[in-house]
Amino acid sequence: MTTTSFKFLIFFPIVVLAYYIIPKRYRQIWLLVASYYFYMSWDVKYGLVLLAVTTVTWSGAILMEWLDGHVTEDRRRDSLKKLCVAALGAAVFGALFCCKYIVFVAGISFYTLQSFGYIMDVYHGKAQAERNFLRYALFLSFFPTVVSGPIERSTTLLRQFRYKERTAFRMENVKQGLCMMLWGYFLKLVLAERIAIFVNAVYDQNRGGLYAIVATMLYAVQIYCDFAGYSTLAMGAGKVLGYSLTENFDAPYLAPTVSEFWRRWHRSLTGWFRDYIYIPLGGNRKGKIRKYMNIMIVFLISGIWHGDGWKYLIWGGLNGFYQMAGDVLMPLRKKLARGFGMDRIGKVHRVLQIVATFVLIDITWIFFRAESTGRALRMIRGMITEFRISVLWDGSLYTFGIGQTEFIFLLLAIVLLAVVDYLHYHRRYVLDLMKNWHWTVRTCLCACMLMSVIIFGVYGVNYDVGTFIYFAF
Amino acid sequence: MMWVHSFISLFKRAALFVTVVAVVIETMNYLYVDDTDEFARYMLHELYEEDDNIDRLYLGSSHVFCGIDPLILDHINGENNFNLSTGTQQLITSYYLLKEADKKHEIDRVYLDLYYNCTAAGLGNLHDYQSIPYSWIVLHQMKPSINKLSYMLNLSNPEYYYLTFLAFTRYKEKLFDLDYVSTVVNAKQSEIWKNYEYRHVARVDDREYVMQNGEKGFRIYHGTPEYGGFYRTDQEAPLSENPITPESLEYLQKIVEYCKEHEIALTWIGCPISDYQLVRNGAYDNFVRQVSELAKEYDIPYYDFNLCRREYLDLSRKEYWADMGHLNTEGADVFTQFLGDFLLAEEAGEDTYRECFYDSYKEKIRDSQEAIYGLEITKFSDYERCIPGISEEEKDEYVIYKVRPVTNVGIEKVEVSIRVTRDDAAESEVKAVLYREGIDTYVAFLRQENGTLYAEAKLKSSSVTTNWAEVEF
Repeated sequence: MTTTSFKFLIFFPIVVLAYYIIPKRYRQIWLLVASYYFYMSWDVKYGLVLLAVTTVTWSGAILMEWLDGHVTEDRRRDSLKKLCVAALGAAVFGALFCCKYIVFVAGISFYTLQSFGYIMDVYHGKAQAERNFLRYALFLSFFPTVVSGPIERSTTLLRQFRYKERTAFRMENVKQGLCMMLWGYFLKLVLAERIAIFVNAVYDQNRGGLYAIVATMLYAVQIYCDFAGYSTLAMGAGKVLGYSLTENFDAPYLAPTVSEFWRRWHRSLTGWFRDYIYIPLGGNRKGKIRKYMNIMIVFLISGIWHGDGWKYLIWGGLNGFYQMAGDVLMPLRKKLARGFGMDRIGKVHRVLQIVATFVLIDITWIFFRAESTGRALRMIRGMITEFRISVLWDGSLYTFGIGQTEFIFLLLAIVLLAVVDYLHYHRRYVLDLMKNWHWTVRTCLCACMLMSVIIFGVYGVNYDVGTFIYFAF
Repeated sequence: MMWVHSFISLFKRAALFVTVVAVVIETMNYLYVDDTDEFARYMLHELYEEDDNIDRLYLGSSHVFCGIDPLILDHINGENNFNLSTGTQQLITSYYLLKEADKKHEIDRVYLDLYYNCTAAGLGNLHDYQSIPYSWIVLHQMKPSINKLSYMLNLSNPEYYYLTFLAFTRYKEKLFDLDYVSTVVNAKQSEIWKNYEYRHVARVDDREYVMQNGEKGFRIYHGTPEYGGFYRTDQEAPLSENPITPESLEYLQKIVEYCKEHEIALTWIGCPISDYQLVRNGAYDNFVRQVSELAKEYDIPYYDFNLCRREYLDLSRKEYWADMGHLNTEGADVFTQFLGDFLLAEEAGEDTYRECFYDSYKEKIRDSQEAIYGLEITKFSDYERCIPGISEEEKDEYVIYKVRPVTNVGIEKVEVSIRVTRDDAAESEVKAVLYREGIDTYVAFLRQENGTLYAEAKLKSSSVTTNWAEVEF
């Protein structure tokens, strides 16, 4: 069952209705049952893997806390706790390796990181070990996040599960959550799935020139809408149930530098890498060389986390390289900007920076999307050698599954996305803005949004709605 | 009082939301749902507008609305007859249309046509995706009611509900086709559509087939078969031993029970289908036997007019037929007159028609005079049989057609001749390989050539060619 499937449209209202009807003390147990049902609807065996990871990490965290209380000698206690973390790390990442590269288990990449993050938080004393096994099980299996994140922290989601008043019914939560879910469906079904038709056609046919350039630019939007769509859906579903999840995306394509892009893209994963890999490795505290090494290590690990091909390693390496180069060339870039008088026209400079960052990120997406590294390189070569500007007006652009009218519609939808992201970037959230509008306008807007997803969404019998791209990771 | 205020506020919002959604749905349906050529629209409108009580109701598929003229029956039995047949009417549709008509009228008698095409595997698998579009056509014209809702819910698996409840979503492929929208809107702006008139003109070569509304659900169909008799280019599998599907049986039983509950006299009938269609299938008796057994089980009178002796009802003249499954107006006059007299005599308990029926269709055909009913020209894939020793590569170069005369006599009495011409100006003959086996003639020619395959068949005893057809390749 995916969140875009018909089954989910039946499953979710049932879960929500039952959740608010049953007494408060049973609500989280009900959520746990629903979450396991949701997860095991792919494969019953997945549930066993999740249960094993849950049991091992829950016990490990309690053991660490027990050591804190019972081993008085500091060195011995630290050694034992380190041993504990190492053993748990080996178990969790061993499971991740086996279930990612040998036998695929959906969601394993997400909840293993979440569980290890919890272990590290307990180890560092940032969080208390959760005594209630069912609550911890819900923390790892919560159905909006279990398959593709956001990778939640014990200090956020687990803490919310501890407060019973969170489970109280609030109409505002339901309304906001449903609006978020609608936007998530819009991103996934109207934008991502429609763009996928064009991108798949161009990439499958190994087309070069402007076709490949347009397809790659659109792929950047597709992967954003696909993943942000899922994350927004998850946030909305969580909100309806009374829980706030981490916002995974923060207008990433409006970032003026690659390093800022990574602070805005897949924030829960980036934050995890920062807190549990980059900072423990020394972060930027041990000199420039170590800082660059640490950045490179983090992005290479991120590449490996995404998949086992060279293309993912190159994708991660390129992103690491961009950040290093950006840092090294910073003085030169500032000089150049001053030389061209760019510093006096800040807005133009900023737009140029955003465009440049988008282009750089697009290059990395070619490796991410192509079947293999070889194909990606051929595609890049083809972009230059087969470049013909006439493609823009000779109509051939509309022969990849999307006609001219649909293409125009697609561009308008992307403009809408850009406007929403622009507001978001400036911390003006549409949902907050809507609160100031008259209720009739708000209601009409929501109804139109729902209908636009139904009318313009790419789904149903004649279309094979792909699963979310990040399900594969 | 606070909760009253909240409730009113919520109610207002919900009402506005539903209104906006309903307006958008209606607008989309108007723009995209093309019912401008649907006979069901006219027929159901007439049903809803019928003020006089309907005494006798006729249910079935298109060969019923082409074959039974209620005005003639009114004249014969002096009651109000109404033909509530629709194109490819499956038993689920018959059941719900019966209930729809019975809401307003006190129906005394129902004549339900049982057609193997709508009850056997294929269209008889009522809930399959391929079967439900015929119901959508009817549903779209039904007025909102509990009966309609029940029909919608029972029609298909839940995964297709969106197509059933939101008619415009069936036209997703046309979403950005503005020419299509313009055509539909223009047609709906016409007086014909607004006044619920029906006129459909099909042009095949230089011939014109005109269909228009008669009265009380009768469709006037002018025209005679194209070429020298009937011919088909599609394959049809012979009926199985017990061809009626479980889903069809379920609704047949529901119709029987409904009629018993509401004291409606139910009669099963088999409206005339051409001998070409029944002989070509070869196993019509399997259907007749199963329906006869069911009729005995439920104690329902069953009259299959395809088993009528020709001295009572002779529809063998091609001039009576518009195509192989539909009588034209001339044929409908003859059949309706017979049907009216027959039913009246049966109701009166007269034995005028005691000897009217054969026990089986096979018997009827055996007793019929020697004839060729038409031709079947289908693509054939057993290359080895026609061109022994043909290589795999050569198979791609050839196309093979099988020409079979549909007849009640053996090969020794039939003469089939074939001519294959190329489409160029000279109309030169194509070099074709001919292979004969039994009654079948196989014609193989090079795939790269375009032209016409012309086939003729006649009885050797006759000096006149009775059947001919041509297929473009």
